[in-house]
Amino acid sequence: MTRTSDTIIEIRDIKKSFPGVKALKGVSFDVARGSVHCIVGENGAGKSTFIKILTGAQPASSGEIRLNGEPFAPYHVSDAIAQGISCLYQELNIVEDLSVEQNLSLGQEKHKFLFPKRADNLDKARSILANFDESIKLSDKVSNLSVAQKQIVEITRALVTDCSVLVMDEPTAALSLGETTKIMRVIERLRDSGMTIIYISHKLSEIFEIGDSVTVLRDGEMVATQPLKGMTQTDLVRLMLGKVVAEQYIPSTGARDETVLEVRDVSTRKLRDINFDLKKGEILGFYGLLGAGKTEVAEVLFGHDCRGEIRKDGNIINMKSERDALRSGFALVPEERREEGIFGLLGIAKNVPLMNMKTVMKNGLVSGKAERDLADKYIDMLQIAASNRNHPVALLSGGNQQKVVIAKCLNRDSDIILMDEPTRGVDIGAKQEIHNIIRDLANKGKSVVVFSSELQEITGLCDRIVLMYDGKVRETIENGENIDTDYILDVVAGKEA
Amino acid sequence: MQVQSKLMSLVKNQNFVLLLIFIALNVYFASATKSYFQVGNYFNMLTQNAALLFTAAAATLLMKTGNFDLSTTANLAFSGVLYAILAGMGLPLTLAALITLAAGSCFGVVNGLLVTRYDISPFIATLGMMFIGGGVALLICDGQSVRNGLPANFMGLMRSEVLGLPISILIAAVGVTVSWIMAEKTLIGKYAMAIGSNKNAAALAGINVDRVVMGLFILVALCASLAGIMTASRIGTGDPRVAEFFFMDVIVAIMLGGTPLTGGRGTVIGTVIAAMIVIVIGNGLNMLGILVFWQTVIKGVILIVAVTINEKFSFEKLRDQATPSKGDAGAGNGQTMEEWSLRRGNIL
Amino acid sequence: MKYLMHYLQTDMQKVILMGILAALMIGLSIASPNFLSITNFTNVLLKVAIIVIIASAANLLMITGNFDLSVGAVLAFSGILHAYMSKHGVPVELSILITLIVAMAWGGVNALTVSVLGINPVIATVGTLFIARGFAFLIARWDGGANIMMGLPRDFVDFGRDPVFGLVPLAIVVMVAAVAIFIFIEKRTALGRKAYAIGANLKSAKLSGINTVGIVALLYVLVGLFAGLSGVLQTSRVGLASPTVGKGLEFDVIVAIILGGTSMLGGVGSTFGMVLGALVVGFTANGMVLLGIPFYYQTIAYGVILIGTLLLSQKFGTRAKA
Repeated sequence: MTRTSDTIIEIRDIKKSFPGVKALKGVSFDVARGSVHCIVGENGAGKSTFIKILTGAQPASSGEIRLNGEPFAPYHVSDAIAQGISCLYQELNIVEDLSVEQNLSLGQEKHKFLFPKRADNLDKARSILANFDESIKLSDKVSNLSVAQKQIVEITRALVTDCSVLVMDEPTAALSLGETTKIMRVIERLRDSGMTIIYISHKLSEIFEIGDSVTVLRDGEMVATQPLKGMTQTDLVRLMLGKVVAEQYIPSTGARDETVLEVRDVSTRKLRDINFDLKKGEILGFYGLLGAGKTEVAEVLFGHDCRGEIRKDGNIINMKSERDALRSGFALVPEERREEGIFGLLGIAKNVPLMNMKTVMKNGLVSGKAERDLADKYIDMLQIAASNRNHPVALLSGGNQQKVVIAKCLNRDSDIILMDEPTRGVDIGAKQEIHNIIRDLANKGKSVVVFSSELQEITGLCDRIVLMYDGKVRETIENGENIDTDYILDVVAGKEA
Repeated sequence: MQVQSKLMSLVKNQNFVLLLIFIALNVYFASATKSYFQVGNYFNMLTQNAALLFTAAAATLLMKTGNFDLSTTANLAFSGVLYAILAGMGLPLTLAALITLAAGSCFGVVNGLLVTRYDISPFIATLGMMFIGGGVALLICDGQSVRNGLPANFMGLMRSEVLGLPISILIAAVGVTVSWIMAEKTLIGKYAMAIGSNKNAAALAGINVDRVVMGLFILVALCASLAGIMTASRIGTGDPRVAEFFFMDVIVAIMLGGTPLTGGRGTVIGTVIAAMIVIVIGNGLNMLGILVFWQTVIKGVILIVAVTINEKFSFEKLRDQATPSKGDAGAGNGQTMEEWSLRRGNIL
Repeated sequence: MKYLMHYLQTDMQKVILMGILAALMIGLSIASPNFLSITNFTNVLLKVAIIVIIASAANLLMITGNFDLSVGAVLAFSGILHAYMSKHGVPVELSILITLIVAMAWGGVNALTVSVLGINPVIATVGTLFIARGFAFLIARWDGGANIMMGLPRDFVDFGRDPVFGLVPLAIVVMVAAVAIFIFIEKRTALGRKAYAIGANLKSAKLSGINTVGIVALLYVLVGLFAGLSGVLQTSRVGLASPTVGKGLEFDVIVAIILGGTSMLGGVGSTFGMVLGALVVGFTANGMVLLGIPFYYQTIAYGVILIGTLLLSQKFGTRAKA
């Protein structure tokens, strides 16, 4: 691989190890100037680590990066920025308590004795912002913006600093379809103007839409770097996984004729007149874009305030808190696994029984043996990969963490299990396993409600699908062989019938 | 409508509420006792509490970054004793003060190093320095107040007046103004806020987080040291047991003023008004001849009530903001691996 | 071997503390002939007992991510209330009972402000500190002086001074009992498990249906109770009640807990570690007294041990992980 004039970045044998983990085991590839170079891989493949090295947030353990033919080893993020590499990280890296304007200039201010000078690139920032979302004002406080708007501010910040390479780590993860399309257009424009973009995403469709070439990482190793032209999605997935997983809808086997839950005219600040039924042994899916109200429906079923009527097994129930909901026979696998699901510092054995301590109590005391047995039961049943049952859950991979949350929830033995984005941020193998667990639950007579923003998941899993748009239920459809995904997309995009 | 919403935002503005409380207290005490509403009394209050005012103002900046300093009391005692010893040895007062300030700033350097370089939580690091500093203060004076050999002009600093104002009030005014300018007009205030609000984002934006935190620890240490010099001058001795609750008063003023322990928010003005409220209450109750134990009780009750109201306000705000954005939340950045290992390493 | 390594990794702090403790013991036995005696050990344990009794409860509270700065004031208040009632004709047993109930009420105040109303524990418990301390002065004033010493009934001091089974002072027995109770709670009860869960992730705990408010409130009440008990024990043993005792005790308690490896954010920690922490502090102070080192070196040593242990455990902790 010799350097040609249009190679901007050369990466040679980059390695990185953390205590106990080899995150990168030697990655080498070239990035062509003015291209959109995608990096794909499952969770834990080493994408985020690679990005941190490239942008100076962490040093590499060994290896070399050359930028424009010169050795490039940033000690600090500002080094990388000064040499023209800006990055949008996966987590929102934006300061909530400052205004949009203050965020845009943060760390890059020109100053005299620390007194800031009037920023001259504000107009540029304003025009870039307006391109995305005209409702964002420079004086707005960031904490008042929606997550999507915060993301946009962050993208703008990277664009305002003149950079030749823009690294984007999952920039569209929290964006709606419309906003995603906007960003795709912006990326194209940036590329046409000569900027190099390194683009990391889980969404393969985006990669094929805008990418020029792709590097596939698997378990810290580089599997392939090649042009995207001529590749199919299946090719790419095969490279990422080493195996192809296809998922097909398998109807739940239960009779599904007994109604366990009736929701009638439920309204909140963001929901209007929600109506639906849930049958015993059924998997019911809620699909809609971000902000359509899926999470709010989950919250209402888990004890949030609402107007309207919720009947379980024919009786009106009135829930005031999460504990009421649990008592009424609901259990929730929350959306934010790390923040709301796991107890990261505690081992698996201590996480699992927390929703239902009775399962490990003997004579009013916690029995260590019962606790171990329970943990082993679920580790075995859900195939949780962990070295031992006292392994702190924070150190498990995303998929295994999610399984621990599900185990905790199953241990409650509730009739109705709510799952908000059950496989978000989980790699494809674990996703398949979690889907099988959900099907299993339904076949055993539990009712499962799945809230997901991934259409594939909904159509592969659910028996019936509730389509939401703007806080309302637009339609409830039966799943089956010839389900029309285009029609679903039309409905959730708000297209009138 | 316009007027009403402006009025509402004014009522919700914490500094305005604090100011109202301050005025109300003054009105009450002035009507309750004749000796309260006198220029002399106000001068007296300010002279006695000048050190608290400018230290709290500077420490507000530190608290905005999510850090705080419990060792200010120890630093104050140490600096007072050292200053008296040096003065007693016959050094010119200016030189003695400069040496003391240099020694006092070492508290900030050690605190800053422990927090930034060694990742020890500010609570533990500065608590440790509180013990060490308090011990050193006793050590250098062998447990005795330093009185002997002090030059005649030792108490001069606090007695002198400029333009009819006692010099300590001027020092407080200058100190508070400098902190206010730093917080509101320079990048330091913005960076401090960014660090307290989202440290990761601040670091990724290219801010040298460690240097800012370190600098602010040193600033607070310098203030505490100056406070020690001023206190020693005022009482005329270097007393190693002086101002036991200084650090508590500083932190209470900052928190009452609307800066949370976790940082990210807060204003120097809020701190100053809150400090004045605390000072006025102490003085007013004294004037009214209220017994010490009732004063302590009242202090406690006011503290709890004030912060309850305060936190309920911000709680409401937070909840209103949190609801719409929830559900859209993208990649969670909760407990990361780093955080886990940090906690195992006993970060607070 | 693997288990040993695992233990070293996760409990580095305890290993360091045990090392320091062993070094102290050996060093002091060589340096001072008076160290290895029952009287001396009893003295150390009596001093440590007050801290450990409170810290047993406060440790579990800190594991939930909360703490209590009012313990010193509640101790002083309880001691003086007990002395006042005993002096003015209330039978000692009844007086102790009432005192403990009132001490729990102080804990209840903290429970209400911190757990129910959600006030920052620093401010809320410092508020309680002021109020409790103020009332302690008030009771002393009712009695007509600064301290209550004269006129206490005989069985008042008998309670604190009569050794249990003629051998062990009551305070030490209570200390052992308190430690045993909290090790039991920590290891074998749902309360213990839930306390760890609350500290590890409050939001998850709520969504898992754990009564977070109730548990934190209960622990505050327990801390109040144990602070009150310490107050009764101390006053009884010394035969003197003063409204100024226990100043800075809250820091002694927190230092013992943190030295023992409990994180102030919660989720991590153990009663056993806390006891080790308290013993290290107690024996260091004792050693310095025995060696005739001026008292102000003790505070310096206190700070050095606190910072040093954490630095060491961080350094070795990471090395063991690598």
